[in-house]
Amino acid sequence: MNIKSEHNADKEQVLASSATNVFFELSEPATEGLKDLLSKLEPLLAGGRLSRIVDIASVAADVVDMSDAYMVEKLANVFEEVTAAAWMTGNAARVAGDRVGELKDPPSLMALLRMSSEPDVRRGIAFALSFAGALGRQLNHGIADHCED
Amino acid sequence: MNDYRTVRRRGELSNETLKFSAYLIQPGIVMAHRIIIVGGGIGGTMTANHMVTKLYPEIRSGKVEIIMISNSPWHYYKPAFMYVAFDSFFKNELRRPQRSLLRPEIDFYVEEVEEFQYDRSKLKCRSGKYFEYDQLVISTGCIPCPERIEGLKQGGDHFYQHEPARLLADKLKKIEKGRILVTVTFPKTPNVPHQCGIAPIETTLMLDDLLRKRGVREKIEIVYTYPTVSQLLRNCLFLQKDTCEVLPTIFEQRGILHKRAFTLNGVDHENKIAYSEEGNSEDFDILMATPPIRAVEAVRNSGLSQAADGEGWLPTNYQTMKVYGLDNVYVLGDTVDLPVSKAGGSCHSQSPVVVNNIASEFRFGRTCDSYEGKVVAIAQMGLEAGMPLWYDYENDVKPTPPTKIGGLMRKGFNRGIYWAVAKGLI
Repeated sequence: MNIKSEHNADKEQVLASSATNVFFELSEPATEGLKDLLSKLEPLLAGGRLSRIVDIASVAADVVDMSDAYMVEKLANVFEEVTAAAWMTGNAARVAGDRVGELKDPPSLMALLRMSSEPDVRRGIAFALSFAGALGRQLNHGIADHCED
Repeated sequence: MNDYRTVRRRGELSNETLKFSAYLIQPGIVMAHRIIIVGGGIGGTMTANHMVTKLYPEIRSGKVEIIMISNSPWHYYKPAFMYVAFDSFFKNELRRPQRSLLRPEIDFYVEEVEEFQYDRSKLKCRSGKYFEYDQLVISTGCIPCPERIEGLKQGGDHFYQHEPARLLADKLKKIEKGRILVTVTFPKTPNVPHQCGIAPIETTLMLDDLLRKRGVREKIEIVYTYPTVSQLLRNCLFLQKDTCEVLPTIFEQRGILHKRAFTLNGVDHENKIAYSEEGNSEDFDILMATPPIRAVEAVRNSGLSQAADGEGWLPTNYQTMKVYGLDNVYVLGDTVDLPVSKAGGSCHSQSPVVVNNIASEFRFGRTCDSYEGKVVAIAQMGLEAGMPLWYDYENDVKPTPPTKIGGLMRKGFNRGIYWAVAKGLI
């Protein structure tokens, strides 16, 4: 055995001994758990791909470190707005679908006019028109020269 | 057309009910089964929305109608009052119009229920209106009553309502030195907890963080006290044993003094001294109290409660969530006399049981679901950290180390997810 291989053998022995020490310090269920985990990680270690998992964990840790209450507040507001819009639209579609589904024949023009006398229907129409107005305001950005350099 | 779709005409309500579904329903032929939910807090709101989903075929065909009655047009996210005391929430951020949180199939009325006439399945409102019901769900919450301890209203502060929380916030912002005393008062009814079991710990840790942030912590002493009797435990620091055992270490790490066996029974607001039933006294500059609580007046006056000291908790079947002695009345949330936390995390698990049982009774004539005492929440452990927790009738909370991820989860819940929960989406 040459000096280099002797040195490696020593190193392996130290590593094995410190690993054993770690296991000795842990309770039996924890040791069994670690062994189980290592056996599951073995294919990743053998394929040299464990570093990818470590990278993902590192990115996740970065995201948590970078996140703060202000960021969460903005994200949560977006979540609320999106779910509220989807919920309201879904509710309206469900109720309207049921209502129309019950009709044997399409309503006459007079019946449609009668419908519009209902305050909630008029409120809905007002919403649709206001929605169009707000959409239009966002589109009212004038003509820009996007080719300008 | 649609002659099977009808609404029962009852009292002053029938015409109002017809307004919403004027095109869906031909009035006056068959009687709809009416379910009324009283209380527009988180328990009532998620129950009403969930009920629509569960009983949708019957609602669609006019066999069932769902009505919600609340005394406010606003829905408040009550746990956020705690954050108001720490300047972390504005009023518009913690409330939404109640109607905007309800499915359109629910008829919503802003009325103050004055009297529950259980023998006639009827509700009398302060406006003089009457509502009849086939099944009733009571989710009227509880109200803080600092006036029930002498001097507490004048000398103490709390964070369980918006205005008191604002007043407390102003004091916490200004205090430069002195002593902040934390007290907790349990209901007199045996084995019933105070409002939101973890709140006193949450706010004590938030207080510590806030004062450190302000750079005045070393000049201010924080003293956390707990009463001798806390549900089934004696001389502890929390109402569950496992959590109680880890608390001294957490408090010592932060330099928070903690004292057991301090059952607040009087406050000398002029000299700023709090007295306990055990014969001790504590000085304070700010008294941050978890005050006594009671059920709302109409529930207290309904004659059903067996709770001590007129507290008004309704006798609740711990499995079906029905009120004992009334076959068509359910109760959930803070109004129950169960040993589980009076918090939204309890309502979240009780509500599906109530909804399933009501649907099952309507369809099969019997209940089908059972509440297991489950409570789920994320505790705010200081201004930044959070600790997810859950427990039930059989198992206590297993405390885990608070983390930043837990804190972010709680903040995400406060700001957005809560409203989805109220709508019955989560």
